[in-house]
Amino acid sequence: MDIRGDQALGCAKNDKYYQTPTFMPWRPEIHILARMKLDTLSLQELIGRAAQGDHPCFAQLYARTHTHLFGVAIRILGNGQAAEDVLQEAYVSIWKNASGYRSDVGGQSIQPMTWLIAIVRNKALDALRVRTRRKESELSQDDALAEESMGTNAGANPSALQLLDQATQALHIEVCMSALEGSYRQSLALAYYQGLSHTEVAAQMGAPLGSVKAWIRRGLDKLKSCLALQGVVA
Amino acid sequence: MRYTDTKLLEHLAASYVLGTLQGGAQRRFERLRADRVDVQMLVTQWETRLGQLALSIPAQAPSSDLWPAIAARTQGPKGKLAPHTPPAWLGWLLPAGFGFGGLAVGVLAASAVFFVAPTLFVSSEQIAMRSGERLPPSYVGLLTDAAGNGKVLVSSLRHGKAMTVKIIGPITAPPLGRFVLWAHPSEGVPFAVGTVPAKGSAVSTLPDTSEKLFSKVSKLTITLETEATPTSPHGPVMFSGNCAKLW
Repeated sequence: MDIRGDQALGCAKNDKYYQTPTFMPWRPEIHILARMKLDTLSLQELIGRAAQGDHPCFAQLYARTHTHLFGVAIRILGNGQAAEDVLQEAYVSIWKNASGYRSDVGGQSIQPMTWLIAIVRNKALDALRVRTRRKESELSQDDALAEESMGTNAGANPSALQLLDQATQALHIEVCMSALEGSYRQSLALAYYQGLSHTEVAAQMGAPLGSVKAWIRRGLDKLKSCLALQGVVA
Repeated sequence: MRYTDTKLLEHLAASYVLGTLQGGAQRRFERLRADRVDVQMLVTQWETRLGQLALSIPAQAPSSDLWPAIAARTQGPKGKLAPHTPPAWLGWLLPAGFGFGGLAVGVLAASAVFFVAPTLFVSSEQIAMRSGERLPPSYVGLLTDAAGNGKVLVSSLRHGKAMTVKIIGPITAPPLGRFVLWAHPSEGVPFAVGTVPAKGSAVSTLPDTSEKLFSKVSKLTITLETEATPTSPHGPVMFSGNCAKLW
């Protein structure tokens, strides 16, 4: 990403506190201070300012979140160009609907990243559903080359199950979740990290569709109870 | 399908957020979510849970062309977004234009059937609600002060778990303590159902469905309490009113 000049240094120019200083090469400390002040803005504050039309703050929101959100999109879509298209749509949607972000819904705290991830996942899943309607033979050579160049082959990245295990470990629920059989966790991981449908999970695992549906449902129930023990949406 | 089973709603919300709810079921659930606050809250809860799993996904940098493309579409006054160039990977759709003609005819035919015989798709009760002829089954309460002035409106869908408390007349925030809303069953002791905002409205989650909590409640009161978690109303009654079933 390349965000230079005013946008990299602070939010709206007319903002007294975060005013972007005139570029003075002989006074580098001014620019360092402006950047430090900008760093004190939380994601929630950046979204709030973006909702008021503050584009530099929106740029800062992008700077802080886009690599993680691109990771989410590319995990589902594989193809780098498709993931970039989805991310572009997602950020335009975020800009248009920033005022719709609520940090609290019915006493339930909503983290900004949760809101952003949901937007990107939904758009990535929609794009994936459109794409899976294409016959595999219709995939162009360009697409295949793009996937290769982005290094999205399974060998280069952790598997869906590995990602689930890493997440449960970081959330301190790995012991709780390990009560589930491997096939349950595998099916949940494929559905979440790769956006696969029930049918696609069943095909990939070579398991009956009914079993996969039951595994995923059981996996979701277990995830809910394990997270509740950690105070997440208890 | 009647969306009154809380377990079913929970399952649908989880599947929707996970992405395994597709096709017609997904569209029906999205319509339901647009109509019901309790369903929106379930979705939010599942987005929070499943969002935690995304934290293990490795970050990756997109190409440097992405931000300029986003900036070009978002800079300028809000609402005047630059037109979007269709993504390259959608180019395959263009040759399929003729196929979409057939699809459009199908959609028109289905729409005609919907308008001629809507009860084939949704119940007459849902049609009445959507057309504005009937309100959804709800529990409502209008609380007034001693002079009979309307002050607080409480509402909750019959089978939902979300309760809205809306201030409709000016009330003065107490310097000490807080306003607590109580439900008074016709038999049994009153129980607290939430606090009251000083202005505007607030949505809170009930411990159970309104049907189970309010089916035998005839009266609502708001008292001024100084305890953090009062178990019974001790303070002065500020506002009161009846709890009515709206169906």
